[in-house]
Amino acid sequence: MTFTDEQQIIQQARHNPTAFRELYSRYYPRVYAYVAYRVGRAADAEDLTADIFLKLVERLSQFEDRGEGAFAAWLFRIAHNAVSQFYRQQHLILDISLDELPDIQSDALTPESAFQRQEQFQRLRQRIANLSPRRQEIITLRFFGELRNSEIAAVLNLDERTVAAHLCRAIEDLQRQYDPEMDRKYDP
Amino acid sequence: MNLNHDPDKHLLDQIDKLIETKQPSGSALLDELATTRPIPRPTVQTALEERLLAQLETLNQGETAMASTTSYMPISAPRRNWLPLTLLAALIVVAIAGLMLINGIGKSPKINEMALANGTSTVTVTSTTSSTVAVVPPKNDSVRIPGVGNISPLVVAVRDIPRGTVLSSRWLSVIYTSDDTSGMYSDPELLRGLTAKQDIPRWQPILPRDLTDQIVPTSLPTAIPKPTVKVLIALQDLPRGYKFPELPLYDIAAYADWPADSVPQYALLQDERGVQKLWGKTLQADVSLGQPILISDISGGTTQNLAAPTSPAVHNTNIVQIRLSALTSDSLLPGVGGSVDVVALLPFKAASNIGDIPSTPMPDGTRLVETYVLRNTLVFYHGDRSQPNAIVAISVSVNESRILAWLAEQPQVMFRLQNPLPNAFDMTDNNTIVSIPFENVTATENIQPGDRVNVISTCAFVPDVMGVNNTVISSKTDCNQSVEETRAVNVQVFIGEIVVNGRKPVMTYDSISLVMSKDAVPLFTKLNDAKMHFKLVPATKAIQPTPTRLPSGLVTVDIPLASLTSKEQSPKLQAGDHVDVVATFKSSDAPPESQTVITPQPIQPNGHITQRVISDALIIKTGDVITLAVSPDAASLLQQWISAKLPITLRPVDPATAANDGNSPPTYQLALDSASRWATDDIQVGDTVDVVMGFVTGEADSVDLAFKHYGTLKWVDELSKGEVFARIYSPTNGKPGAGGIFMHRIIQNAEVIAINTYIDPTSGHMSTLNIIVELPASMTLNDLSTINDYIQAGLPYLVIKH
Repeated sequence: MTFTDEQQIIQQARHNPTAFRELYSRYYPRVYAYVAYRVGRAADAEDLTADIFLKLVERLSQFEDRGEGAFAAWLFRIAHNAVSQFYRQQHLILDISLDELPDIQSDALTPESAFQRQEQFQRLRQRIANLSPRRQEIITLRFFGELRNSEIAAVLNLDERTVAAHLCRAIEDLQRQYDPEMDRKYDP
Repeated sequence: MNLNHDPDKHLLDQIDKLIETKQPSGSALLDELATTRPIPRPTVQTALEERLLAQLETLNQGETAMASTTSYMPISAPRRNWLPLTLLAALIVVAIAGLMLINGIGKSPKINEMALANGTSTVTVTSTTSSTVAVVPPKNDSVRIPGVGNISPLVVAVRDIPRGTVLSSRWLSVIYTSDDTSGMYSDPELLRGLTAKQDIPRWQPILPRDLTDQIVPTSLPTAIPKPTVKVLIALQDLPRGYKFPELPLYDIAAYADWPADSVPQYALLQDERGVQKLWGKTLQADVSLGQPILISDISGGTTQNLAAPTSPAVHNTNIVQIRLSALTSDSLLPGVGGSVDVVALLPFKAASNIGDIPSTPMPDGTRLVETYVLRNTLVFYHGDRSQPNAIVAISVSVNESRILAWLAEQPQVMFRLQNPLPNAFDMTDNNTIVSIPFENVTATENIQPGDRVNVISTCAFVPDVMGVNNTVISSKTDCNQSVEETRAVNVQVFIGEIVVNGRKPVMTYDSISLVMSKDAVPLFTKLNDAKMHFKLVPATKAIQPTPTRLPSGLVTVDIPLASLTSKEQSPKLQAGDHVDVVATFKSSDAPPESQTVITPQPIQPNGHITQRVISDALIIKTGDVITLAVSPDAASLLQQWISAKLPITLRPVDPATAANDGNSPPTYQLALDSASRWATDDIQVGDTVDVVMGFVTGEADSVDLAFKHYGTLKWVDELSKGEVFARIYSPTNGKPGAGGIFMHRIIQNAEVIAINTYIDPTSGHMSTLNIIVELPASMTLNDLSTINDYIQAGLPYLVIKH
């Protein structure tokens, strides 16, 4: 979808169900993936994503198109605020069992594969949780919200270069956690 | 910004390309980030889409209507859309309610009274099973707003309500609307205890046709792991014509766990030594990697005399089919071959308990009689529960099969499958049955009769009107104050089950009944009256001490949460946990009594070591105030700590002081001095760390062992990338290569069991004195000796947190 296409769809979505469906199908998976990483539990992610899109519908008429990426930044700012609100209301940090995790994209269809993918999600989410809050936000917006750095900058009120720097440092931080074991290559 | 000079450009380009093309980037981390992607459930996505479209349409209509009229709140819009008018409505409702109270009509009439009072305006709905399920009272509680018209309360679902849910206030909310609400509910209290016959989306009005007073089976998936069997699968793509060697098929085929209820017919099972059937045989069909290899796929393979692998046929039994839709829930649906008790729920109701016959409390106050139980039957087959007419086939004795078959044909008889019950419950003379309403119960795992659970209350009490320390429980719970308190330990579930279907608990009964001591009845009566919320946690095999019964010789001490230095750990603490209580202070200021408290660490020679530990305290209660049970001496000391506002930390019981069962291999501990200077991260007790030692090499006479430049050189990165295990470090500026040090990981996966700090007497700053790590059990005395040599040599080291 080109920028102009998306502009037209956003414009028409307010009154045209077909356009709204198109917009929804394009953004729902991205918002859900972002929210699921931020909150962990599938049920919470579904509730929050529903709230976010309800807000979207309520405020769609207020959206001012300020150029490419403006809509995505606007929508994910709603999502970012919803997640922040969610954490403000949560007094307990509970362990999340695998049963409560969202389904994870997988080419294989076996239950074992799905289970392993959820374990992988759990591990990755724990690694991301070890990052600073800002880097957590940036890395989840980039990879799961699939926002560009300029869009993330708009969501978080940051400079684009700051976002890029945080993103690179976040990857480096994750990389440190990522390599599981190192073989001894030198002996004293 | 000139990106051509951006050192991160390559990484940023790599990320851009990966997200845009979805093609592997070559970086395992980036690929995992891009592919480990949560995907929404299509049903949820579609349902929300329809709601949003309806919402959009309503809003569009609202825009038009508001332009010409003062039309009030549309039904299908969620409450939050009506905020501007909610305040006005609320004020009016409060005023009307006040008038109604003055006139003595403020109380909602009961259903039957309403039905009798006004038959013409009452809507009665009858379910397909001919039981009267719900009566909607006439509208007498609407409010008229000048210029707007009447607005009426309307009960809506405040969240998605799954089929089979017993309704309570947590599912329902009231909105006000100007639309016609005839035949709809205005008071959520009237719906309490009724069951949803079908899924009700969030924000939808609750309609009588959605509800029943009957048990509704849930068709939601269960979280119980399916049983598996070992099935032979291909480890590589095997083409038709492939001839299996007459050898062990290590890299060709292997047994893998396969869901027992979906084993293909003629699959080769481990129990039947299936792999031997392949030796020397030729494949007659292509078999892909991961697919089961079937006996029918190989030359000479015969299906004759092969029982279907999923058919654990039993002699002298008959197979009886029960519709899956006749099960009260699928909390227990074991795989083929599983053993279950079958409980038939006969459609006979009684006003109260009938002797010793088990019965289930129902929302209408009657009890459903359970009179027919088949013990230890065998599941012979069960179908796909997504199919409308799926069945479960039970293998039972010939005699019992006739009765069960008759019952299974009766449309009003429901069944519950449950784990085989123990021969006897804990029904001694001192025990009795205590029930807790399901609406006040949560559980993290499936709960069934026979299970043993701990009962934990989860809310604080609002002080009662008498204000006598809550000894008289007369008010509702205030769930904003989360306080967990163990109320009963290791009690047995007698009647009722909770299904945790992976997302939300779905309850099929009015209450859950537990076998408890008669002494507990007064307490639970008060707790139930106060609508206390409970959490049921499966009891561990090792029975924990009962916090409600204080171990002899111990007294309790309350620690305000504000006194704890690590508040973020507090939510993880639960009643029944054992912890060490650690205080840090100047030893010169230490209360004299502290000398009597045993600390696992030796007192340091400079007199400024300042940590004291009260070992093995038992948590009685958590919340804003944590109650601990300790010895009287420790309690006195703890009170002094609290009074002196010393920083206090609670940590898991130090493994070093924990009792050794004599079977565990011996482990070694190592004290690392000045750890904080070398730590990569904030190290906490309980962390798993590696310890990397630095060695001098080359002609480096003036090596700066302070590593103050390591951040610039990023040698930690080099370590973590695994490319090199050491990095040459130039200790002298301007003389690269003159000498250096390299790093060697000497300890891997050690657990930090204590961190000792002290307050510098001159600066007054708190510093880390040393950390104590427990070495992995795999390390030998020789390893320890070598490490000790390194430390004695004064080599620097770095503690890397995992």
